[in-house]
Amino acid sequence: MSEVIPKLFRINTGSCNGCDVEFMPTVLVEKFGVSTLGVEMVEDIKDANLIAITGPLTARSESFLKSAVSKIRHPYVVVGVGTCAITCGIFRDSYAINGPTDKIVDVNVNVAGCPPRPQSIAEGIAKGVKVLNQVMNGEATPKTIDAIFKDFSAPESFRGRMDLNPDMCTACRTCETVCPSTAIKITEIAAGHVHNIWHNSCCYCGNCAYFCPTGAIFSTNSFDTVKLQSEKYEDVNSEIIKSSTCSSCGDTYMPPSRGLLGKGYVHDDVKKLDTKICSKCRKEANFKRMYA
Amino acid sequence: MNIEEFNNAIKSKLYGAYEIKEDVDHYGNDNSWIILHEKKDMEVIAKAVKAFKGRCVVATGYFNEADNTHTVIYHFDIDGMIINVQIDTDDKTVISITPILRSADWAERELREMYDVEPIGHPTKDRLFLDYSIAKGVLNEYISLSKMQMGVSDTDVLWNQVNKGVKA
Repeated sequence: MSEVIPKLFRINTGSCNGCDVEFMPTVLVEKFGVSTLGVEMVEDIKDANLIAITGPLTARSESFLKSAVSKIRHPYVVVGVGTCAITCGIFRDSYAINGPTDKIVDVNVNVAGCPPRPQSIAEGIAKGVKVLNQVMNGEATPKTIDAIFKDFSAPESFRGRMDLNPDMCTACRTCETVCPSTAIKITEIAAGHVHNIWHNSCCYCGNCAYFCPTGAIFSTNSFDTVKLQSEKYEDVNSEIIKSSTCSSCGDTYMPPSRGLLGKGYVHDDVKKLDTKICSKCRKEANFKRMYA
Repeated sequence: MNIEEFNNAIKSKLYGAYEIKEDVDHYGNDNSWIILHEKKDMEVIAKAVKAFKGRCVVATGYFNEADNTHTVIYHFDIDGMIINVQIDTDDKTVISITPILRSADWAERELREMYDVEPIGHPTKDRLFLDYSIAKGVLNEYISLSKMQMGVSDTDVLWNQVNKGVKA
């Protein structure tokens, strides 16, 4: 197996520069470990075999990207840096956006984040190098690659991958409404609601956690957002919020979650409440109790 | 130089009907609101502003959805005095004042790009910032504030691919 020298070239397709600002220290500062991969930065795309792309691909930059891509020598590997490069992030469906980049160029590795931490970018480059080695040696790329740099940790306050506690969620759709990058979708099914958080569309703003009335959705400090292109649509946090059947009328209803009850009845023992009936039946029962 | 002097200077020269309202802002600065009914009169105003050594600060465009017309307000500054001149157009054209006042260049080009209102006689045809593949007049489209603030995405093309993989 021959060792390949990865030659890195960066393309900005109309990024806000957030990712680009993180990118340069990642490559230049030793502690992020990119130098251990033997990566060489090149000035001309013709010399490159590892391409990092940032930005949501604005209409203005599309022709430039196309012309740049036509100059790359095969074989090469593309690393999409930032949520914009993967799904256009908060700019999706704007009149000026023609992305995401995988419409124009075959992307191999995606690094989600807005912007990603330097550690994530380093991990993305490392995985890119790994894929490059496999491509150069004619090997097939596996469906997943384990983390390469394992000694990174994030501070407590870091807003990383969002997570959901289904016990606390009542599927009120507040998070879905306030999400600026359409990363949350709540779908109704027979058994209740499916709550999906798509990490590749998330811009990690924490709006959902801020507005969630029950604290069901929260950010973890995991920044494990570097995935292969084959995992692009699969990196989803999926939870089912179960509905209940009313013991009185038999209708299906969405029961108040533990979080919501805890908020409504702060001094009372929540367990004493009969939560097995729907709100309509409860109203009726209360009315009868008071006026009948 | 005061607002009256300027108003008197233009009154006799305007071709069409006009309305003038003088006002003072809460800092005590004079300003004037002029509504023109004749497009050609914008050149008269521009010449007067130039004679008084003033400049065009910016122009405001607005699309009137109800009657499919545009309102354009030019904002001029003469030594701290603000002259706001409004003109309505129903055929998406105004007479360009850039040949008289160079300071209107950017504002008129912006008007052309964002509202598809053509400043006739403008010396520059290049776009300012929108790519040529994007149609002129993107701001004529109605986008509700709530939609703008709560994420612009209104298609499910990508989410459909996600849902394929998620087992409900």
